[in-house]
Amino acid sequence: MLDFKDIQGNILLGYRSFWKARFLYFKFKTGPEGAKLGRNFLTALLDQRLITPADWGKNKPDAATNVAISMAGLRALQLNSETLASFPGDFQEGMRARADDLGDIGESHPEKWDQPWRSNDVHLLLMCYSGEPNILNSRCKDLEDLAAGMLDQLQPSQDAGKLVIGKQAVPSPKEHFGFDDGLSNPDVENARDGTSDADVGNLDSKGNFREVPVGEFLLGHRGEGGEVAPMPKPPLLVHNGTFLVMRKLQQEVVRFRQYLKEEAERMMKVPGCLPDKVAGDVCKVQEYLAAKMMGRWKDGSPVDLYPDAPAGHQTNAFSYHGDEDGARCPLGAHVRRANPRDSLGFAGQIVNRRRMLRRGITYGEFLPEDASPTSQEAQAERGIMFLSLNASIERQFEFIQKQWMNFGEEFKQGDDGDPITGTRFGDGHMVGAVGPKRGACDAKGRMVIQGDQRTGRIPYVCSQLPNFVITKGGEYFFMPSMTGLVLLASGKVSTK
Amino acid sequence: MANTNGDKYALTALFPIRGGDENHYEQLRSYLRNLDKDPLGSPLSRVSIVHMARFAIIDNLIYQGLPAKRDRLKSRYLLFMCDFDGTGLDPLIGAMSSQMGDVVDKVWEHCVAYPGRAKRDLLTAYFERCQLTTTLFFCDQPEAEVSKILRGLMAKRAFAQFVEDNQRQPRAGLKQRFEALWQDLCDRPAPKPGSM
Repeated sequence: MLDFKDIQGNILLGYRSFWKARFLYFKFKTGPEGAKLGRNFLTALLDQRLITPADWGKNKPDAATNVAISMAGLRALQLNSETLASFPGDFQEGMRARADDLGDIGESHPEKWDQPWRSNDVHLLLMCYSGEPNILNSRCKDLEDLAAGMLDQLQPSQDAGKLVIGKQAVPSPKEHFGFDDGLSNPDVENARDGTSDADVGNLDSKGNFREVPVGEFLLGHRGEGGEVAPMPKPPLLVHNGTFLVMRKLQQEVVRFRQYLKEEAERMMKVPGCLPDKVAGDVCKVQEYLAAKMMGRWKDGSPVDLYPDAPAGHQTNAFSYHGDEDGARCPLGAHVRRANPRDSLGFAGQIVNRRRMLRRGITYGEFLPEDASPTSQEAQAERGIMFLSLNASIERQFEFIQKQWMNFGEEFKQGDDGDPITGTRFGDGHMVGAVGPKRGACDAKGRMVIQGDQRTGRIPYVCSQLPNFVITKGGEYFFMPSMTGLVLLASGKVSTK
Repeated sequence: MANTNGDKYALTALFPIRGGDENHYEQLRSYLRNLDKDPLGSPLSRVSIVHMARFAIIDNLIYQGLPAKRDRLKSRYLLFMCDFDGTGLDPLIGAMSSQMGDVVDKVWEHCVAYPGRAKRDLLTAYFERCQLTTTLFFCDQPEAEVSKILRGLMAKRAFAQFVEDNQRQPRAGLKQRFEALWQDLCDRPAPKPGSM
């Protein structure tokens, strides 16, 4: 049984009703005195019960705060060298150092990132959430006041929150491109009612869904392979902790909408590449094209189940069995890459160890559909604070990013990368598995919408895809358990 | 059959590294470490018959069972593994000598009894003397030569571009345009190794 009082909140259980967030960034002061002040700050957070565990007890709090620390932060806290050396290489190097592998080049190059990400100075991350903006402000102010004198706060902080679209009273589940988001998180073993009904786990050998072992997302527990993943030392520090990947991903909404508009017009000039019900209506063609790129319709219904029109059915319980040729959901569609389910054969076993828990949240204002592309609001920054939790950054997040998002070989798509999030550089080339340095990859930003032999619909090649998503910052963090935090605050982390 | 799979030949060879006061071991390690700094990639990627190759230096062997035991080697060894198009070592020696000759000298001059490149048969015999039998090796396309794979990649990309360019063109003339593409592909030389 999991100890939910020990596990930080927002890992196994998402904060659904806390729709406003602010991320506060801090740097520990230098030297032994700085480390001591850092520990004092952690102690104060714990003493004042400001860190929210997964188990809220009897009363739901009106705000939540969670904490994560980067490798630079652990070094600044002056942990013993054996403990520091026992953390995995991906985490030790940090996100900036692995930019080439992640496809963070060109427009996404770390030199072009926003502050405070242009250096490795983000030592400590406080993630604050609430359903009430005033309460969130008050909580953040309390935390900033508490940190003053003990830590150096880095600016700017990052506001985020679910989108408010039009005159809706309720925050929307949509992201900026207009798709309902967060629909396919894995169902985690023993996570109680933490996941929604729509969540499903991994496929078993009979094609049924089963829960994913918690060890894929939490250190010190059994994972998909039946083993406990290698852990940093000492176990007390890392048990019930996890690794957090945070990325500030700017979404180029104007570019995306413009592309859909232009490509839809080009599509309409190719007889036979669209279903009859869609072919004559430019709005429907745009909607169809966007859905084929994403693998879900904007309302969340899976393209694999509903290949020609949205159905308002946000199910997650589907596989690609029977659609091996991509006639329903294109082989290179975003959601089919991010979670290929049974696409890659072997009863899903190739995919099972590449799952992540995503807790991303949008930032910036939603751009109304009728906004002028040259208006001030169209130029405003908007995107998603991508947050993913995994037991191994390299095996889970980095593998997906490198092999499935920025390369297409596994999906029989050659060098073609993800149509939504793939990195194109220079003259439109994809990064490819050979890496950007060699210049050996000359595929353009391209996506094939496979044809359907049953209906006679012919294939269509979407061409000249630009970057729709640009990395503006990010880091790898360690999210300790409550016990781990107490140990860190005590200054007595020891491998002896 | 040992060393071969289809039209591929796999070489595994251990070359003793020279001892003495001239630091051959350090120099060789340093040279190999910097081979990939070339923006075009490893010089082996430019050798027209090489599919895959790997260098490693073996400086100690430790048996890690119980009790652990250190095997004393007579010298340090350069391990060179390579699979290429051919049925024996001679084509590889010829291709490496002509297409990365300076690299061959800079690597193997640190090895015991390197005869130089002046006489190809001597160099082939030298490699054969240091060769180990390879019984199992990775061979992704046993029947395809490097040039055929490069040509295949070129054709695949050209065809993808053709589809993209022609999907909005009238059907009339499509066959002629495809024939023109086909002829163009037949006329083009195979891409240079390492260029794809």
